[in-house]
Amino acid sequence: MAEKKVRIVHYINQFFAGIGGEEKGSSPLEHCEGPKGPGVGLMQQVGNEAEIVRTIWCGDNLVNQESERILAGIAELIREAKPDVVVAGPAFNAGRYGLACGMVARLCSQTLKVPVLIGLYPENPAVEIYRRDAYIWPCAETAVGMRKDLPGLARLAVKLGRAGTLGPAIEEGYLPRGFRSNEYVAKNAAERAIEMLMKRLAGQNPPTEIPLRGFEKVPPAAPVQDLSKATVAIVTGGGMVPRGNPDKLKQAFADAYGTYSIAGLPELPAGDFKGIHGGYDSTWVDEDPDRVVPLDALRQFEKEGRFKVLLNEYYVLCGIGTNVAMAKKLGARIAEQLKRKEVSAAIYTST
Amino acid sequence: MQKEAERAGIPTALITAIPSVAKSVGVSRIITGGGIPYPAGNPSLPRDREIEFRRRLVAKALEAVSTAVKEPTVFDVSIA
Repeated sequence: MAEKKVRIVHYINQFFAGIGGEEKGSSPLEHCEGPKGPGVGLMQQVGNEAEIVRTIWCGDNLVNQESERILAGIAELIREAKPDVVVAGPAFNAGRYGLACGMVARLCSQTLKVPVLIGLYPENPAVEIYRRDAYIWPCAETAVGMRKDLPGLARLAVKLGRAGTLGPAIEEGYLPRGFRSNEYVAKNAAERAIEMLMKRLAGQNPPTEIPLRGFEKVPPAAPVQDLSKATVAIVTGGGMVPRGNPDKLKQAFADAYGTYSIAGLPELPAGDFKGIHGGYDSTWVDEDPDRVVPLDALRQFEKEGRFKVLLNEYYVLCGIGTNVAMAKKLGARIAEQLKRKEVSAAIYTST
Repeated sequence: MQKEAERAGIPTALITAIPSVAKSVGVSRIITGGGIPYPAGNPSLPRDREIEFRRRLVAKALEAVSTAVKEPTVFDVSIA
C-alpha cells in the first residue's frame, strides 16, 4: 500500500505569488489551498509522494518591517494546515525574500517544531543567519536556475517530511549547518586514520571527516612604502592587561577590547601588567610581558629610526572561543581606531 | 582581527606560534613566533639570546609590513 502523502506548506513572496514586484512589497499576508507559482513546479517533482496543501505569501517589505505581527499570522496558517514539512522559497540571492524565508524557518524550528527546508543561493546573507534553523538547499543566484533547483528541493522535502530529519550535509547535499552528530561506524578512528594515510601515501586524496569551515578572503593591504615615516601600533589577542584588569575584560569569549597606554615605557614592566587569557598558562608572559607585547624591541627600532613612531597605546583582548562574527566586529572597531590615529602598520600577536 | 585592519588598508603582521591556523583563516603576513604561551619570546633561551630573538621577530614583522604579498605568506626567523 502506498504511503501517506507528505503534507507540505509552502511559503513564497508576493513576486512568486504573481501579485507584483518591488511596488507590491507591502502587499498583505495571504494564502490559498494547494500549490502556487514555484509550488506548481515543485509538485511535478514530488509526484505522488507529497502534496502542497497550502501556499502562504506576503510582501517582502511587510514581513521584514512588521515581522512580529506577520509571523504570528504565518504561525497560525501553518498550524491549521498540519504540515509534515514547511518549504520556503527558493529565494535565490534575494535579500529581503531570503530573510523572510529565514524568519519562517526559525519560526518552524523554534516555535512550531515542524521540519523546515529553504532554498537559497549559498552566499545569500540569510544563510549565515539562519543555517542552524533550517536545512538549506543550495540554489542558483537567480530564478533562472529554478528548473535545476526544484528536483533537489523536492527530493529533500519528501525525505524530510517522512523522516523529520536528514542525514549529514555531505551526503544529502544541503548546506552544512555547523552541527556535528555522533554516528556508529564499523571501524574505529585509528583504523580510519591509517586507511586515510595509506590512501594519501598512494597519491589519492581521501576526503576528511571534519571539513574546516571556509573563511572569507580579504586581499592583503598594500605594504608600507617608507617605514621611516610610519606610525606602528601593537594589537594582541594574548590577554596582557594592566594589573587588576581595569576594564574587566573577559578571559574568554571576548566581547570587548581594551586600550592601554604605553607612553614613555621602554618595555612592558612585569608586575604592572598581567596575562589574564583563559586559554594558556601565563607564567612566562607574567615573568616578561614583552613576550606577548614586544614593546622593548619596538622601542629600540623606534629609537634607531627604523620607523617613525610607536602608537602610545596598545589594543588587547583574550582571543579564545571568540566566534568569527565577534572577532570581525572587534577587529573592525580596532581597525577604525588605528585608521583614525593614522597608523601605517600594525603588529599583532596571538597565543 | 587582522583581516579587518587589512580591509581598512592597514598592513599587518601577525606573530604567532601556529602559522598553519593563521594561514588557513587568511592572515596576510605571518611570523612564526617562539611558542604558544610566548609568541614574542622563548624562555628556554638565555636572556640575551631571547632578547635578540624578539628583536629578529619584530624586525621581520617590520620587513613583512613593508613587503607586498598576494596571499597568506609565512616569514620565518631563525633562533638567535
